[in-house]
Amino acid sequence: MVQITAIPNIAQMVGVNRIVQGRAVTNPLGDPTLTKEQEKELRREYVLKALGLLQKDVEGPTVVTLEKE
Amino acid sequence: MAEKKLRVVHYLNQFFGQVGGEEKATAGFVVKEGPVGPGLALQKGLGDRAEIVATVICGDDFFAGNPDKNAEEGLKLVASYQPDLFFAGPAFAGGRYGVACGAMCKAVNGELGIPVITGMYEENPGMDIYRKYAFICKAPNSARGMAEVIGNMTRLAFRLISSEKETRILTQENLPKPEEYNYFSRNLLRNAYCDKSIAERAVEKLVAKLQGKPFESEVNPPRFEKVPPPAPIKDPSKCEIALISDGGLVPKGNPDGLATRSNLKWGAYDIEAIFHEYEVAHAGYFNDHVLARPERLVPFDVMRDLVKEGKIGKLHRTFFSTSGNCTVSKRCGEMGEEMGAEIKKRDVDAAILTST
Amino acid sequence: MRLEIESIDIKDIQAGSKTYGKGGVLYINLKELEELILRDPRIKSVEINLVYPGDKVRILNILDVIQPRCKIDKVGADFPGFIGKMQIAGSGRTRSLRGVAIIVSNPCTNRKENALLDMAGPIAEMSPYGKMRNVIIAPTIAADVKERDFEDAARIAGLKAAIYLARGAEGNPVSEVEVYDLDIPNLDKKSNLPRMACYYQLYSPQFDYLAISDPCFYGTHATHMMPTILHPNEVLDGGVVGWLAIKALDTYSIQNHGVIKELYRHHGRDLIFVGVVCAVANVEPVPRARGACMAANLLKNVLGADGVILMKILGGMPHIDLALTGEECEKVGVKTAIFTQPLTSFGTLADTILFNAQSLDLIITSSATFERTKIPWKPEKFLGGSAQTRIFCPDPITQYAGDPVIDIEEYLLPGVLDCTGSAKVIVKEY
Repeated sequence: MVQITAIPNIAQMVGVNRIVQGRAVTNPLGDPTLTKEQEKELRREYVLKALGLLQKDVEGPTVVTLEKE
Repeated sequence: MAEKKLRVVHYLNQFFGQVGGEEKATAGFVVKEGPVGPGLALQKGLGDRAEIVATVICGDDFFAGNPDKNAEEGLKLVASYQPDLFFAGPAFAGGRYGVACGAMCKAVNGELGIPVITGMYEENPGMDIYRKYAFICKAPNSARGMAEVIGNMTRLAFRLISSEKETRILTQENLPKPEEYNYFSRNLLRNAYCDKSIAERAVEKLVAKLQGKPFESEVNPPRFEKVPPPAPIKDPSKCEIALISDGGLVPKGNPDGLATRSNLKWGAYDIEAIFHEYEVAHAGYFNDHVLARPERLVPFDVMRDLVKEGKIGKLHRTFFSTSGNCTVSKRCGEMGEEMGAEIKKRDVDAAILTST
Repeated sequence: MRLEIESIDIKDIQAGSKTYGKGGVLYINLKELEELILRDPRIKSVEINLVYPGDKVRILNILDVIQPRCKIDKVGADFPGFIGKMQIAGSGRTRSLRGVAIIVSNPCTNRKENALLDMAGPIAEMSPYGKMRNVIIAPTIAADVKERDFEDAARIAGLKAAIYLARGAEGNPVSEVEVYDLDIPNLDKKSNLPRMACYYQLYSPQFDYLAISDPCFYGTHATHMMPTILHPNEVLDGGVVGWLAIKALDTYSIQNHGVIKELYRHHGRDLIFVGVVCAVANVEPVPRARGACMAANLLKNVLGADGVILMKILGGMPHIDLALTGEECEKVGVKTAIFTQPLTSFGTLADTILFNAQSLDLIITSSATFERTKIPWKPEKFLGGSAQTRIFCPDPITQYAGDPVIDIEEYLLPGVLDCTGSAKVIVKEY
């Protein structure tokens, strides 16, 4: 399981092992300031990041963001 | 007109019920009229206000053999006496006895709605399991404390049957203070009036902390256990992936009645159908962005594309949904386990959980 | 900056042909007040009622509660940025009326979660406003006006009424003068007393109704505000107001800010009050992390604080901004006391906490905001709504203002719980 959340701190605290930092609490996989196409592209990046993390070995709670590993 | 005398039923194990010792622990249910053993002291404490009309007795091992079934059976026996009040034990440190007392209390209160009171030692396994369902008075680990515990249980009973409200809490329910009546708190949280304001307490304690003096935090956070990370998936193009969310996305009409706050339920919905007619049951964030485009919460569109492109094997047909706003963490853990078991049953390889 | 608040105790309010004060009574020309409010074209009409403790009245759809106040020594300086032109609040002399509150209701609101107040029964016992004499202002929206714009107009009407009443009470004797005098640049640097600040989390955009921010900081929206420093008097004297909905917070509470007043009380005795850092909660993780670092830096390297009280606004998410800021503070040597608001009524206090960093070892419960309580009290009259007004419940049940019992969360009862720390409430395990 991988969790995409805009509050990764809580996920880390309770022991979730694979965490992707989402965009915002009100739109974790979106951005209302973007166009529909740009937003879908952004969403795709989040999902691919999540898939990447699912394929990775981790040792404990690990947070990845779009900006950095 | 005199107050109606309350009817009491008392539950005891084989030893305190004077059926026999450990050799009689396998004995089944027996009912005796009136008080037995410690019930005599209990009756004395209750005086003219209440009468122990029956004592239900069961062997500890017998009860432990099937606690749920035996609690049901015991409940039937108790209910036949139409009690207003129910006592069990006290069980002190006896583990099987404590579990039996707790289970009986839970069943009786659940069905009859009457006050249920027992007594246990802090480390009795029955205490933590049943503290939510009964008033468990604090007892020592030896029956030498019997008189005191019986007195405690009686005092608590009188408080519970009175119409006295607890005006020191904002809800003014009939909820006696655990410290005052010497029982284990029942996993409830209440706003209580305090002689010092929040600001006064904060400043006073911070000054003490800065002066290097002792101070007491009002909350002591837990340390969470580590969860061993599941092995990674090898090849997503061969995997079936399920989507889960706690952002409250539900079919229009909210058929399972998920609450917008303090929600305790989860639902399983068709992933495609839900994007046609939906609503959001979550009062912890403004829902406008998700209502306009629910993919912002549950990435159905992208997942479908990735399946088409062969990057993911399959998107699981069912979407698992709950509303995670200000709710009971233990129940959330249970919901996670329930969802996890269901997902595993369906041979799904991985899940993506999206959260607000 | 030096602020003097001159309080007048009002014993009674009555409608009259003229607005004036005498013998502890405030007479109000309701027609004149109505005309004042109707000058705003966003308001079509307004109903003004006077209510008294013991009245069998339920006031519905409350969006704010305001204490009547006006500047005595300045003109055009009331609630700067909201009504008066932009200038810094918090100096000079302010008149304040005690025993009276302005309550603004929006009878045509489309919001689901609305606050209410009873003038008798359990809610009146719980809330300080249930014991005051109140002026209820219920405006209706003019044609073609957007809902959020109207809510703003309604609150401005409340602020105008607050100023109008305070001015009108002149002539009544002053009962108390409170002096708030804090010269931050010239604080005694040689003192051994610990330097203490307040981190005032004043807003969370997670509840932005219709995705629009509330203007609660000098008339502007707070959603993207970066952490900044305020003089505490700015908060006490009208620079900050409540949200456009009651969320365990209202303007009246802010005008009497619990933590700020308490820090002033201790100033010079066992601490030196060095100022206020105010900030908002963030829906996005990037500004959340930035805000935490910036606030800790302002506290440590600009205010020179040794300790800080981290205060919380309503919501689950704000715990995280608070905790991250607290951790950054402790990292740089600023010791913390941090607020938490248990969000459910089940479990232990430890079950409800959303942060567990070891450095945050002093946690204060600042009420369980969503605690539900049953109110078995039937009103006879309704203001700001009707007996058919739906009362919010998080469970999917329906209940109405006229029902004999309502099940309501305490954050919707103005004055009962209060994010500024004035409430004498603690969360206990039962």
